[in-house]
Amino acid sequence: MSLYLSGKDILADGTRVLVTGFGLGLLFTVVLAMGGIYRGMVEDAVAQAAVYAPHAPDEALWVVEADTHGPFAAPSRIDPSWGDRLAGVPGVKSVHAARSAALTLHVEGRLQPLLVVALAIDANAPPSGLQTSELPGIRAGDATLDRSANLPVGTRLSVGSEEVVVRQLAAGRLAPSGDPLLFVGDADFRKLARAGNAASLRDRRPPTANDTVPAFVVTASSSDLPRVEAALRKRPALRVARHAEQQAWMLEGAVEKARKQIGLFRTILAIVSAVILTLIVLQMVGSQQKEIALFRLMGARKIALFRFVFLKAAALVSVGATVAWGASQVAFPRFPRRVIVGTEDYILLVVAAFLLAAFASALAYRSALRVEASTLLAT
Amino acid sequence: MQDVRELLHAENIEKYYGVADLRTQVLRDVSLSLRGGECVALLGPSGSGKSTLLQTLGLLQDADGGTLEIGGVPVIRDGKRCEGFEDNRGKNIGFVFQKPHLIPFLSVLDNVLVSVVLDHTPTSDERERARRLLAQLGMDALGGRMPSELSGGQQQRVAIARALFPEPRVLLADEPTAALDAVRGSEVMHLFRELAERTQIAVLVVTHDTRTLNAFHRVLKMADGELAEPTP
Repeated sequence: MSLYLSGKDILADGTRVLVTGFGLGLLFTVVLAMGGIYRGMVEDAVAQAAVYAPHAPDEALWVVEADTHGPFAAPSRIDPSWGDRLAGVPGVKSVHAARSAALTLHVEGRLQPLLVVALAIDANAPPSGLQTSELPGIRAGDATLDRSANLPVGTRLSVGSEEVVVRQLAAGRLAPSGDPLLFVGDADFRKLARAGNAASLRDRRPPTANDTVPAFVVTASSSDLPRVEAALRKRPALRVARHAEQQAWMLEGAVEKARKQIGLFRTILAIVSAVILTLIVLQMVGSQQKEIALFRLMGARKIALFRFVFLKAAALVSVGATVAWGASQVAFPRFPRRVIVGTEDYILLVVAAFLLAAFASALAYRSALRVEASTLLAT
Repeated sequence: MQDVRELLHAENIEKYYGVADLRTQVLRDVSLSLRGGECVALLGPSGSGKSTLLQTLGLLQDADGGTLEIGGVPVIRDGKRCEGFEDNRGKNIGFVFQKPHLIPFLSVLDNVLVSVVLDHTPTSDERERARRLLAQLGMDALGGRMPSELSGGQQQRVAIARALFPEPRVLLADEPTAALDAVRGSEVMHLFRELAERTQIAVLVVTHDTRTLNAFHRVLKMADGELAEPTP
């Protein structure tokens, strides 16, 4: 079957192909979005942890409360005095307290509160995962907020009587929950967290943080790291994890449930897309049975008949894939959550869509061949 | 000795419908020959087996017994398909159905060329030949139109042109004027005769319409699956 014939068929049925392809494209877009949202969650979780990790994660140890997977996957509380003791362990280069808390802040001039995940930053020894432009500054009350909050520099944020002012805007700094990160100085963090706890108790919500430290990030040279790790493992109150291990805990704890939910939803959507495409192709072929019967009687080869059916289905999924690409470019940046879709996702979508088109075409082709051509044309 | 102008020769063709006890014989030892340049009518009441015979001769249905030769080459022997059965259907036999069954998304010219466009984009030579065929059928000005823009008679002429384009040796038509008025029907029947005489192909037309029998060289009659003696 020549492209000439298929081209004429597709052009003649252009409106239907475009409209149906557009609908399929929107379905494909949602399937893409599901994967992109999951990847965004993972990226955000990793990025949050990376704030405290040095550029060389192999030189970092996470010290958390014994028997916990803290600080991102489970509650972990360590007495702040451990900071000095950890710094005294031979071979340790630096110790950072990794403090974070989910806070509900009042935004000056706005009724709607702002949910953030606040991270404590020591302005004198900032974690190396932060850019200089993201540092909240050394003055008390200064804060850096992610742009996704849509608030300008100078905005005042408060919990109870405690207040910070947004001095810098960061980009792509989101918690796995999708909430923007707020970087504040250590002292401001404690004040906000304490005020947040008081507000939580008033509102009968669970408190979010206190003066304890969820985790310390200890760095050492790669040659000293095993020695430091061995020394820390002897402390029964603590648990020590390499950066990769901590990241795995975090992903299991914070993202795993979402991964299952999103994965299930994505699977259902993919099946729905497949069923809809198959029904559309079956219906299209069903409406052309007489034409196909005539082609058969004119001596068309079976592979040529299959190609005739497949090319129309391919045109449909091509429109769908193009719409999905366009919609993702327009819509995904406007999503409240980060949606990360890479070139490989688009390639996978196109390959899957064409395989689906081939499958649907095979079913439709079989159904068309079951009909007795001479009987069909005799009527 | 076989007539050299004999393009189709069928002998003792048998055909059954149904299975086991419900088997009904619809063609009983049907034998006939068609010669080049000859236009033959096949008459008979409904259910007499005319269309079944035509579809069997047109290789649209399998026979259960008998022999069929096209251009002296056997295509059915003892009710079994011979080598080249499918090829013969595409190349040597043209079929015109009761309804034109034109491809709605192809122009009139492309409908004539459908046996070509199934395989490749038509060449300019093939297009020219299709135009000439349309001109012979009085349709030369309508090649660019779509089937939906044609009358029933015009559509049937396009179907005839489509059947003739592969230059078949035998043209079979199953009640091609059933959907046409008397005048158009008569025109089409005379067209078949003219085509047969001009191109020296054999034409067999199933019809109910006894008013158009003067267009045929011979008239065959069928009843209860049997072919009656030919009428001169």
